[in-house]
Amino acid sequence: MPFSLSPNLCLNSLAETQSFMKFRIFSHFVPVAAASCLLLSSCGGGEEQTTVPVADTLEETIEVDTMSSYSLLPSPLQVAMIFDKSGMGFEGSFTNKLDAVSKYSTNWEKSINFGVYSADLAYAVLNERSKEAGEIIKVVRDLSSEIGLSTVFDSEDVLTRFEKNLGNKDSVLDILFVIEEKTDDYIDENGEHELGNIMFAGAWIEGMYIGAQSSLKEKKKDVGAKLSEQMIICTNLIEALSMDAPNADKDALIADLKDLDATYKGLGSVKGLEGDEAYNVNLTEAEIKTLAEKLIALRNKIVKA
Amino acid sequence: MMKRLVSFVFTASLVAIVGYSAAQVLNKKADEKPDPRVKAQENATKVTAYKQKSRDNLKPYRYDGTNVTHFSYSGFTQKREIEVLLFNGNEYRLVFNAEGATKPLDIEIYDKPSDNQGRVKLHEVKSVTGQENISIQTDVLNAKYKELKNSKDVVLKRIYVDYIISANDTREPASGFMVLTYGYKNV
Repeated sequence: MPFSLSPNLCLNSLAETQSFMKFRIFSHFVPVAAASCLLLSSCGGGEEQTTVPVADTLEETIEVDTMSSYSLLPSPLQVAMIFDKSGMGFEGSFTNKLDAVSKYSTNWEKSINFGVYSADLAYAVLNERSKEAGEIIKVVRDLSSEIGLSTVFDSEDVLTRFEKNLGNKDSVLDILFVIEEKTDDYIDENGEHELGNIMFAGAWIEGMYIGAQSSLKEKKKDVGAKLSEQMIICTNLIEALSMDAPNADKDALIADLKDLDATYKGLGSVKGLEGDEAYNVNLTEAEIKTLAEKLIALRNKIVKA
Repeated sequence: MMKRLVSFVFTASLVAIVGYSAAQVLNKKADEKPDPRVKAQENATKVTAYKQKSRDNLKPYRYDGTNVTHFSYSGFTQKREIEVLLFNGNEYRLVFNAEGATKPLDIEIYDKPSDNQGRVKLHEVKSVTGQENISIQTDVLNAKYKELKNSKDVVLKRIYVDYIISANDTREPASGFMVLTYGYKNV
């Protein structure tokens, strides 16, 4: 073989370039340094090396990393499924208007309303409202690309599959789960947990709003118990949002959520209850109304109704 | 004069040979050290693969979320805690993938957070490292909870997953990660 390049010298990547640079630096610097050291040490005066055994210096203790003690928020789809289990019927006026999307100009408004429309989409799919679901998913897709989530819908395949299966609830649900997984992956891989929290806030508030509206309209007792159970998320959501960087929109939302939480904890059936007991209450009609009013005001503020 | 010159040339050659040999050893070590960007890319690929495996093992439960806990093994035993909310009496499955845990860790599941002295341990898996699928359902946890509380009426509304990460007993820095995918029974 007359001549061949060593694989180590094929600079196909930056990493390999770095490795090659290290080789160059060591080749030139080390012999000189070694020679200097050798000459200096031959003159005497070398220090005695002492080694400290690592194991002897360490005590076996448990260190709790508080930054990593956190709560996992449920998916918007699960929240929608929980309310759906109560047998809530579909009411088109409960979902956010499709043309309202033009009102959302800031990244915050787009992100939180991405969550709102995602909850509406789940509500429509679970109630087998193909036409509405087909329209809402287009708004969700458009918003996703505006807030950097374009990879979720990067191939038209997701949307095409969704449209093709609109008559089949189980298949459409499967596609929603894929969208959810892709959204989670984007958030995780890009460290966009702040965006994830904002989107979840929008979805949760919309889910609670639909539940409250249905409860007021259909007087389903079961929904009152589910609203109570879901209020456990409010505290976790406040905690999650509080860990993110300060911002006026977020601070206003936290204040509103704290107000909602205080309203709930002040309800007659809830007052005095502690821990998980406080979220296992059959709210009275009047209490549902009080909570619903707060939820409706908060949701309408978010969607700019 | 000639003798001194020969001696100088000999010493200089010796120094150069020793220096060159040392350079070769150091270069080899430098090449063995993985580049942090390459390592990060490799890690990301592994995370994606292990997440997918744990999602496959979740079936037929409905996907609710995935949590990836990254950690560096330090000189101390560490603990990381994750709260999982359980709703509406649904049955949930938790799937752990420990292929990213390069050294053993323990998984412990409790009814309350670690700052609560009265919490009870519902489940534990010792010395986890490299396993592809460690699954647990909440019906098993609820049964244990009822037994420990001596009541048929109690139901878990949330659980706390603790990773007890063993100390690094070597000088080599080491890191790892755990993947937890959780989902609920189709309702």
